[in-house]
Amino acid sequence: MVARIIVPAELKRDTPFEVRILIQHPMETGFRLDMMGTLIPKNVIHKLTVTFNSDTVFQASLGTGISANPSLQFWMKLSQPGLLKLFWEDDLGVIGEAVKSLEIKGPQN
Amino acid sequence: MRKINAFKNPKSESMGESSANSLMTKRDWFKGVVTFGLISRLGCFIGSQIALPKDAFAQPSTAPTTPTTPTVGASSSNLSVAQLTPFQLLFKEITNSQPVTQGGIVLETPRLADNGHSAALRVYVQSPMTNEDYVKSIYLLSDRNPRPFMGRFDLTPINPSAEISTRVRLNGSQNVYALALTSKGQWLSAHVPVEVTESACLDAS
Repeated sequence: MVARIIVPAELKRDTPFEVRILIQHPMETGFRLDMMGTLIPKNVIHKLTVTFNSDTVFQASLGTGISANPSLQFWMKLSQPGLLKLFWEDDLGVIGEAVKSLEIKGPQN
Repeated sequence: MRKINAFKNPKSESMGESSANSLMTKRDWFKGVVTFGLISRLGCFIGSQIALPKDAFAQPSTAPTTPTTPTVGASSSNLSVAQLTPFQLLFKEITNSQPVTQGGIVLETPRLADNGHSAALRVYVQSPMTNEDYVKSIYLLSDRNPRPFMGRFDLTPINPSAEISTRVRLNGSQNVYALALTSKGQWLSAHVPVEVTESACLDAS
């Protein structure tokens, strides 16, 4: 499963910016039937963690009420460059990761 | 009719006295059953009358009176647990029946969501987001979805603002609720009505 972290092209020091996370995931509700009429088991991303330089920035636990291919947005700001890491796990035990290195392009004071 | 009477009468006459005794016994038996039933009913009634005050005393101790939130509906305080909807149960479970302040949250969503499979939703909680006072977690709940829990988002003081955006599934037109827990232990709540033209749940519910 593919996951993406999207940040603005230019990041300035101590300026808030929005981080967008996109994960390719069906987010099965457990109510849908397949072609043979059998129930597709519930499978959602029950745990999602975003860390920046080993500090937890954002955590989420998604239910069946979140759309397929979840998109999550939150805000953060940088005081130093570093690595933004995304880790998620779904009900079937599938785990996924994505890493984005954030660099500050702006006045270095 | 006549024929039948003619056929029946001699038979009953012939049975005559011999069946009279058995009839009496049947009557007695019925009387006995009826009186027994009445007595047992009376017993039950008295028993229930005696037992009722006990229940009345027992109820408040098992179910402590808790201040219910205005967002779930004022009438919910009068309902027993069995009568609560899954959403109301979840609301109580998450907040642990603590008082919830209405307001302080901005919920932005299209008034009319064409597609219930994916409706954009933005939640903004007014908070300074400092180490002393920040929003710990934001819950998204749905009024009518088969599973009312939509998502939980945990924030930290690193986040400059308590704002999240996502896309949600909605089973028909309903109210979408947001619950926020601040680091001071205060619960905030807000809801927004959404009209959904195409429901997300077509298979079940």
